[in-house]
Amino acid sequence: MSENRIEVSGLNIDYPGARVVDNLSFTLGNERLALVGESGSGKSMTARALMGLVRKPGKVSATQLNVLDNDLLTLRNRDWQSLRGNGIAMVLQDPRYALNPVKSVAQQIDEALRLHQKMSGAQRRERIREVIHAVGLQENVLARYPAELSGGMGQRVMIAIALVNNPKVLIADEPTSALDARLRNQILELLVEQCEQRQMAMLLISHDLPLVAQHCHRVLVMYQGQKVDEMPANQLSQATHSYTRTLWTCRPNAATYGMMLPTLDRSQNLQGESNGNR
Amino acid sequence: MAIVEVSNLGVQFSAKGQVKTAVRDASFTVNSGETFSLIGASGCGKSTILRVLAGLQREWHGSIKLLNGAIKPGTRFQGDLRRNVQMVFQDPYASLHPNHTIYRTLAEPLTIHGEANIAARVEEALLQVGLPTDAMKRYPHQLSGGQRQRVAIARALLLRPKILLLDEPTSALDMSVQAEILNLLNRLKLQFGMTYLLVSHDADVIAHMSDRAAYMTNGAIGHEFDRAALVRGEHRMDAA
Repeated sequence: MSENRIEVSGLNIDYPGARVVDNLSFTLGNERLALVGESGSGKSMTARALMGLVRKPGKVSATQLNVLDNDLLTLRNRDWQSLRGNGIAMVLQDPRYALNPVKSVAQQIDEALRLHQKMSGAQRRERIREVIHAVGLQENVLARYPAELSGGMGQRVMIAIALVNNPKVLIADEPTSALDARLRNQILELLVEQCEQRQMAMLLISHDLPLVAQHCHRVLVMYQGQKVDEMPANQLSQATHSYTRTLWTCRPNAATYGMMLPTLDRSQNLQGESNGNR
Repeated sequence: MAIVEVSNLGVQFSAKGQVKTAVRDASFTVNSGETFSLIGASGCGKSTILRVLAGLQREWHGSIKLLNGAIKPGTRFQGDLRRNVQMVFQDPYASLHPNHTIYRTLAEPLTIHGEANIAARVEEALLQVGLPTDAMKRYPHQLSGGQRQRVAIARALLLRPKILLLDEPTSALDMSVQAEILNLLNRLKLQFGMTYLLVSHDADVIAHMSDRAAYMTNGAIGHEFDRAALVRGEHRMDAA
């Protein structure tokens, strides 16, 4: 974890009438960091800012916003082109919406290669075969169209598209929330395995704290655009911050039968609390 | 006392000459006052069973008794059944009419059933599910996912049903909002003495909510689990 691949400090994202990310700072080395919070907490917008995908009228400002030693605040379009794909890639939430419905799987992976690499057709085909095996699919999937894939297969194809250029940083934005419970762990295990093999750092975005905590080194908790807590994943059971504790314990299970689950008191101001683990 | 009795239920869909069997030979009973759950992977037919019991899927065979009255295939629900069986759908973004205010959505079932004091009843229903009463002036897109699911639950409860069918009521929601909705469902169940038939693919939600559960694969009901088996985690799909 010596070199930082992502360095963010004082990140603000503003929309007219609302600040969706407020003074966020964090770093990502060669590790897996979970970015956790409810919908509307600004975690996806943070990911979009790192990919340069915040659209007008959204405005990104920061004291520092670096990805692999590129200053994102001054990056030109051409430099973005070389950073995305090779440097940083993103897996989106729902394969039913994120894949192009009228292109075959092979065409979509090939497109990512052609945009970012100078390779011959034969080399590209070889690379596509490698990556489709890496994500646990068979080659016969390549000829199919997204509508012919199940949810889990679609998610694996999206991961293949992100991995095909061997990025240094992978952002996975809720990669499992469109899947059923059994597939969630399979996909997360696949992501972790590929991170280890490729020495790739991952920023994993989710609203399910217990699930991602098993697969990440560190956890960063966001609420209403602000960072409220940050700690190593293995210390979550001792979290003192009330919001982190609620996210950690609100998952139902057999032992909570007949009991009320812990919920958030949304009227309280969570920023005032201090946390020894910070 | 059994309030839902399903025996040898079968549902088939045919398209382009192909016949797809969504439910085959399913039998189960749900007792009054309990929470009975169906668990299974996507596509196993669990939602289809709920749609049959809600009267939305009218092509089926077998025999079903709801609230001690037999229902027949191919017919619409009549009389009190239309009030006593209500359903909450999976996706709160799709299940509310986008061009109707919350008030109009909630008032509609009351108007259809010729109830009095509609405005007061709508207000009461919103308070019951923990929403402010000024939410009734809003449109669905002005509410969050959790708030919309509360509206869907309020709509289902307005007619004081005896049976509530819950089709993945929390799978489109955040973990923390899921906790709020599950608490709400359990509180309302105690308050009104309803019977729940819950469908979910989340083994944790099933274990938290159910008195009994059954596991479905490929349209057939396999094992049934009682409370002790649920505590042991026997209903988890990776283990089954």
